[in-house]
Amino acid sequence: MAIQEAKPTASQQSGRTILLGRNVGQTLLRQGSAFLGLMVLVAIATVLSPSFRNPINLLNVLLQVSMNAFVAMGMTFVIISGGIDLSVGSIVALTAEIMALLALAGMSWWLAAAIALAMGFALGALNGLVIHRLKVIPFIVTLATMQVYRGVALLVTNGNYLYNLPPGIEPLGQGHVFGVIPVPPLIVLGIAFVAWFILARTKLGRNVYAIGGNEEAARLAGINIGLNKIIIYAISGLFCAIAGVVQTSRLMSTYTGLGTGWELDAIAATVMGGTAFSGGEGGVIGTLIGAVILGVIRNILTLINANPFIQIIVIGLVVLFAVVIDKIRQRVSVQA
Amino acid sequence: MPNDHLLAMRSITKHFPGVRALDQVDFDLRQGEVHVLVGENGAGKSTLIKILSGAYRMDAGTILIDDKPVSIGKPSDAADLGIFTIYQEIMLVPPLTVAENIFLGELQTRAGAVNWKEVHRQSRELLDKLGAAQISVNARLKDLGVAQQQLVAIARALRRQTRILIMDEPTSSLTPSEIGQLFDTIRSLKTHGVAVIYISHRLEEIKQIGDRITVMRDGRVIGTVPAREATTPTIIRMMVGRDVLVEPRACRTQPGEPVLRVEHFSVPGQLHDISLQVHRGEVVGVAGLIGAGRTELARALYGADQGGRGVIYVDGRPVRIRSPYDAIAAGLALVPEDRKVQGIVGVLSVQVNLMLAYGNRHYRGLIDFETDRRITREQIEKLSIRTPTAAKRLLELSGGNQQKVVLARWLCMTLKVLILDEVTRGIDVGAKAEIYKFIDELACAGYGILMISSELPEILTLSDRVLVMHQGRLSGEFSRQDATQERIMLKAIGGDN
Repeated sequence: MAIQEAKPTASQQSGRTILLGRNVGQTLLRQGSAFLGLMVLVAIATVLSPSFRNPINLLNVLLQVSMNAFVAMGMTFVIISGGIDLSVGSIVALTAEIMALLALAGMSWWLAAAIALAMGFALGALNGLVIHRLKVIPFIVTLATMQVYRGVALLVTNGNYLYNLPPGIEPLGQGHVFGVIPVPPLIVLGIAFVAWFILARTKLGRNVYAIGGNEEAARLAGINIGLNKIIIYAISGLFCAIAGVVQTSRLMSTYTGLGTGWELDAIAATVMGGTAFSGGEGGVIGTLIGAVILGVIRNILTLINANPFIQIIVIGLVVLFAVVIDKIRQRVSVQA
Repeated sequence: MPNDHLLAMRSITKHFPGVRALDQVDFDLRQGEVHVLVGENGAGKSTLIKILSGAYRMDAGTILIDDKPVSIGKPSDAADLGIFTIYQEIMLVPPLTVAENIFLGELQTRAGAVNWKEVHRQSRELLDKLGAAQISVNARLKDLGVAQQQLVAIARALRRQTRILIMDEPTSSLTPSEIGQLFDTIRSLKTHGVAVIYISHRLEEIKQIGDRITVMRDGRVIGTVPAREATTPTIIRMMVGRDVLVEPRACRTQPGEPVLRVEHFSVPGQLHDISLQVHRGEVVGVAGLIGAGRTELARALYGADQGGRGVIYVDGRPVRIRSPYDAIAAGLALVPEDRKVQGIVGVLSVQVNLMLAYGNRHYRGLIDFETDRRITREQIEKLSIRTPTAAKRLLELSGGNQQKVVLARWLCMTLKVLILDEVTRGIDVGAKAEIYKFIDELACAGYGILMISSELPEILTLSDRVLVMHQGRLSGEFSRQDATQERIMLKAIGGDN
């Protein structure tokens, strides 16, 4: 994330690069260990199953992690700001369905998709507004809206599958560039760049870190906490809607159960990527690595024909392991 | 000396990094007496009682109880010796009932089951002994008033065969009638042979309840006097009579136009009808005891807390301040009281912390890293902030350097009024002197400065004018010439003259 170009200055700013809160060494420590973990994992995977490094398989892994990557990048904004968003999966489902319904009703796909994105943004903004206005902790608010949004999703479709969608948007989810590279991972990269840019280079990004690091200090420095929180949760909602749109165009159908449990994968990817749960630290590059780690683990377990129920256990243990490593690392860096 | 000491503390010494909190302190306590401990903030009262109650370990000294040396290494040691402390903040569990709190952690069980009947009966007995018949043992603690909660805490102390009861500012949140009630309770405790160490800086009440008064200052005992012989001026002189160690201000210009004018400013329940002015180039000190409303005033003026009513003028123009952002736009800045909790974002870099307010106000969408670096470099140099790089996480710097970064956050902007709330709290002497120098320079540069401090020498050295607060009101105002520690202290405790 956030590496600002180093310009050696006359004073002793040191030739090191300045980025949000750390120098390069510390950043490598933080996100580098996620990257290192990924490398080790890939090595293990290659040994365990020769078909792992088959390019088709690798591209397939990237395709599979794309949806989680969208959601997890939004989650990263929220967690850096010291919050949590449990309603992500429900926003994915609701926005996907709205888009599908509009398309079924004859609206142009692109307009329907735009409406879905706007709706994701609005649903997230609503989370932020409630959290700020009612001063209720994000966990509880988004736990409630997770139910509410899911309920609305059920209501609008009566719980039915939406399929036989009119053609037109499938290239977004099913297309390939140069005939081999699936489109969704490319969209992930584009969004990741935007997210990185916001966090590293904009005032909004700095506010996200400041609010997560110490909300009261940020407020006393003049930062509008309410507005920023609304935008942060809105970004999370928007990224969920992107996932909803891409997933629908990939399957060319949708259903009310879409996105169930996705909040857990998103949180796992974020935390494994080195974003601190305590707020104020982290970034989206780490989160992408975290999402890929999850994808690779699932892929290996599938390739070696592991019992699918064991997959769930393994994923849980890996997340726990990552958090413990993070704790140890924090203790070391505080002592240093 | 008659050998009737229940407790004797001899040559107690305690160091904290950079501070000698207690220096060869002697203190004793007789059976059934109320021994009052007074002193300014930071005089060492709290450290002394924390050693006695096992919260801190002393570096040197002896503690005798019944003339036998005892060792108090942890809170449970103190409890075993019958020493019990009632803190300002009552350390009980609000959602539990009165009886559950009285027996907190020590419920007697038979075969794993609590004998509630017995617990309730004993609780009732204890409360009745304290004259608290009106408190139901089944009431939830959180539904009681502060005074009643305090009685529950005392009942809990009594149940544990307390011989020495330490009370730290017990009246700070009580009404006059509740104070009377508390004093009745203390008197009845005395007749039961309990000795009380009573910490307070409300001089008017310590003569009512105390038998002896010991004054502490700068970690030393200045003297012990019988309460009936003590006069308020004597005690005040003992409390504040130290040399002023601070360099006088180099630059004192004639103050200019009022840059901040506050008229009839109130916050319901906290501040009452406060009117004040700060002129361009003037340092106005705000003295008062803890709880006098100084921090509340600073925060309400700055828009950090809601509910302020009254008119605020900056440069003669009325301004409407409803948030810190409004305050900054109007030209106000606040260096808050608690650096760690309100001032710094510890996990972020020196640069980000320094540029937080400037960037929020002046950057549109993108961070201008060129400006970021330039201003940071300038401020690091100007305030001699000691950091290896601007990318260092702020929590890794010393307290003094952290505070300089908070100051620099405002100095890099064009503002008019600086509100400083205990700006040198917890900062070593060297950094303190540097900060004093900046305050001086800022005043010369035309800032109006409202400086809240609990250190009178600081107030006296830096201020052109001193305001004193007492119970949410301005109780006095002195010019630099007229201000003395004794006069300020008298106004701070609500005395006249």
